[in-house]
Amino acid sequence: MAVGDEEIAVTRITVPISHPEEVEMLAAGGAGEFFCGYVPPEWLERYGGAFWLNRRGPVAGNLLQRDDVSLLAERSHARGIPVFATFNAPYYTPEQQEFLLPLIDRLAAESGIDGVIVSDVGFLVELRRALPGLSVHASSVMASLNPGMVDFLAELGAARVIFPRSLGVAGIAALCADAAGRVETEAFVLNEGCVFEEGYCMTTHRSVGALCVQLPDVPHRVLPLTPEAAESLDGEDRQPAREMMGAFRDWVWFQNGCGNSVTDRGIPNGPCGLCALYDLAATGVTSLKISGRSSSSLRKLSGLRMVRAVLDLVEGGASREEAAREAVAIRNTPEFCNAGYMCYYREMAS
Amino acid sequence: MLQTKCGRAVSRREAAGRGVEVAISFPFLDGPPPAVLRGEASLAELLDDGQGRPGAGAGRDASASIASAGAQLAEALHRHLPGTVPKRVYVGNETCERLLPTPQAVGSWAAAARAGRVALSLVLPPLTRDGLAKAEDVVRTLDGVEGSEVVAGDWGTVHRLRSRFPGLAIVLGRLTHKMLRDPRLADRFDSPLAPLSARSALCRSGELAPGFRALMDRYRIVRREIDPFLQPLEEDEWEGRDERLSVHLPYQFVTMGRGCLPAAMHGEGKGRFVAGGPCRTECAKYAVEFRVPIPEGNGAGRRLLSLGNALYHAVPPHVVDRVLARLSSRERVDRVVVAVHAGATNPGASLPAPAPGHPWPSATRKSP
Repeated sequence: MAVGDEEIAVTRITVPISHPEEVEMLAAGGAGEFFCGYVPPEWLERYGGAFWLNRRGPVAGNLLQRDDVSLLAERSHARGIPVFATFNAPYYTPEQQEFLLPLIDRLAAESGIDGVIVSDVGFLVELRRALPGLSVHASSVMASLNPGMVDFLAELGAARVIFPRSLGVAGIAALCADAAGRVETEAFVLNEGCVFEEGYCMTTHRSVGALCVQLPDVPHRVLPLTPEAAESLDGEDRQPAREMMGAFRDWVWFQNGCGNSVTDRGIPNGPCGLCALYDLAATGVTSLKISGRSSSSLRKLSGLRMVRAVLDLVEGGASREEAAREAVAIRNTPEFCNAGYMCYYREMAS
Repeated sequence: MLQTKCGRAVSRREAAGRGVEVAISFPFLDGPPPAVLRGEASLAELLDDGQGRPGAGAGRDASASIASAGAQLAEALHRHLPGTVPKRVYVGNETCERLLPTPQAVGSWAAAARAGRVALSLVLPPLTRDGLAKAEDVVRTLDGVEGSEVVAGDWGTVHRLRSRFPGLAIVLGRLTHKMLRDPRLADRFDSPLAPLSARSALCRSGELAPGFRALMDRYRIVRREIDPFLQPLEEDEWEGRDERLSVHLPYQFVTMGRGCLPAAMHGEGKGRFVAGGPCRTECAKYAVEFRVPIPEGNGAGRRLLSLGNALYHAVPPHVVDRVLARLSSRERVDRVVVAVHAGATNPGASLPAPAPGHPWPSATRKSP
C-alpha cells in the first residue's frame, strides 16, 4: 500500500470488545484485532471492587465467564481476527501474579486468546518466563516514550509496544523505526483521553471518579512562589492566570469525551486522531487503537466505521488534505475540531 | 569511635541523623545555593526562617501550603534525626525534561559539591527520544564524580544508561514505584471494613515478585526511591528487598502530565497543553493549589499542589512522623529526600505579610 511516496504495510484497527455477540458486527465493520478484558469470579471474591484487574471497573466492559472468552475467540478466529486480553493494572502483587499466571495459561491454551496486554514490567518478565509461547504486548500504561524503552521491551521479548497517548506523530514515527523488525507497534486513534500521563498517574477512578475531571470544579488558587511572582500576579499575570484555569477546564472537558457526549448520529465526541491518519499510517505503526471497552456496542461500531472510512481513503491513495477534510466531515462537529483540544495529535491538527 | 547500625565506623558528623542520610532536592533550574554545595547549609536554614516560618522568600500565598509543610518537616526532622546535616544534593526535575540541567551546570555543581564533600544525585524525568539524548550528555559529566548517581524515571532510561555507562550508580525514581497514591482514598485502604486481601494489595507493590527482582539484578539497581505513603505499607515493602531505599518528604507524588498547567498561563490558544509544548518556565514562579473533597468527608478536603506538570500532596504530620519514627528500626531505608521548592531558599528576604489568596473562579465552560 502506498501513502504518498511511501510504501507501507496495511495498518490494522484494534477494536474494543466486551461480548461475543459483538464479534460479527465489528468484524463486518472492519476490525483487524480485538482486545477484551476478563475478570473471573475468584478475583471479585478476593478483591471486591477495591483492586481492578485491568483498567476498567470489575464489571463494565469486562467478560465475567471464561466460556464467553472462548466463544469470543472462536468467533473472532473464524473471521481471521486475533484476540488480546488486557491484564494491564499498573502492578500486581506477588500473590496476584501467582493467581494470574495459571489463569492466563488457561485462557491461551483452552480459550484461544492470542496474547495479553500488560503494564507491570515485572509481570511481563514473569509471563515471558512462564509462558514463552504467549504474545505479550506492553500497554500504553508503560509510557514507552524513548528508544531505550523499545530496546528494553525487545530484549524482554515483548511482541508489541503500545504508545502512550501523549506521544506525537513524529515521536511515534521515530519509535516505529526503532522497533521495526523487532517489536510491533500500536497507537491510539479514537476515544478516551487522559489529562495526565496514564503510566505515571497514581490515582484511581474507582469510588471517587477521575481526579482530572474533578479538578476544574474544586476550589483552587494560584500561588506565587516568589515575591516577584506575587507582584506579577497582582499585575500583568492576573488575566493570564485566570485564562490558564479556564483553558484547563476546557482541556479536561474535551479529554473527557466532551462531557461523555455523542452526536445526534451516535458518533462519540472526544479524543480523536482521524485527521492525522495519513501521517499515522505513514509511520508504519502496526495497529491503530480505538479505546472504550465499556462503551455501548453502537458506540464501538460508529467509532470503528469512522476510522475504517478514513483509513480506507488513506490506503486508497487520498492526499493528507483529502483525508483530513473527510475526517472532519465525517465527525460533523467542526466547532469541536476547531477548538483543537479534541485531537490526539494536536501538533498535526489542521 | 561511633558505629553505624551496620557496624561501620563513622565520624561524629556522620553519626548525626542516626545513620540516615538526608538529601536536599532542588527540582527547578536555579540549582542548589552555594552554601548547600559547600556542605554548610543546615536543614533549619533550608526549611525554616528561624522564626518558625519556612521558605523565607516564598510568595505570600505559598505560605499556606508549601511553607507550612516545610516548617512541620523541619521540626519533625530535628526531632527524629537530631543533628542531621544534608550530605547529598539532588538536582534536576523528576517530571519535566525541559528542566534537565545542562552538562555545564551539572559539571559546575559537581565540582562545588566535591569541594564541600557533598554527594550529587542527578534526577531524570521520564524521557523522550530528545530528552534521553540530552540526558546522556549530562550523565557523562558525572563520570568519576565520587558518590554521584542518577535517579531514573523510566525503564527505557535505565536500559540505555546501563548499556552506555556500565559503572554508573542508577537509582529507580519514585515515579517507577507503581502503587496507588490517591489522596482522596489512600488512607481509607487501612479500613478494617475492606477485604484483607484488598488491603494487602493496596499497601504493597509488585516489586517483590520474581520478575521485578530479576530486573533489579539485571540492571544492577542498588537503590529505589519511594513516597511517604498515606496508607501504611506492609513491612515487606520496606524490608523484603535487597536494594536500599530512599523516602521522599514531605510531598507525595500523585500524578503528572506531559501537558503542563502553569505553561498554559502564557500559552496561545490551541498550543496549550500540547505535550512538550513551549513554556516560560512559569513553574518556577507559580503553583496551583487544589482542594479536592474526600468521600464522606462532610466537606473536608485534601490539598493538591500543582507544581509544574505534576501534582503533589504534602502528607500530614502524622504520616511524616510515622515514616521518620520507624527509620531507626529499618535496615533498608537509609536516606530521606527533602524537597525545597522555588522561593524557599532565599534566606534574608522577609516573608510578605499574609494576605487573602487568589480564588480564581474558572472561566465559564464554553458552550459547544
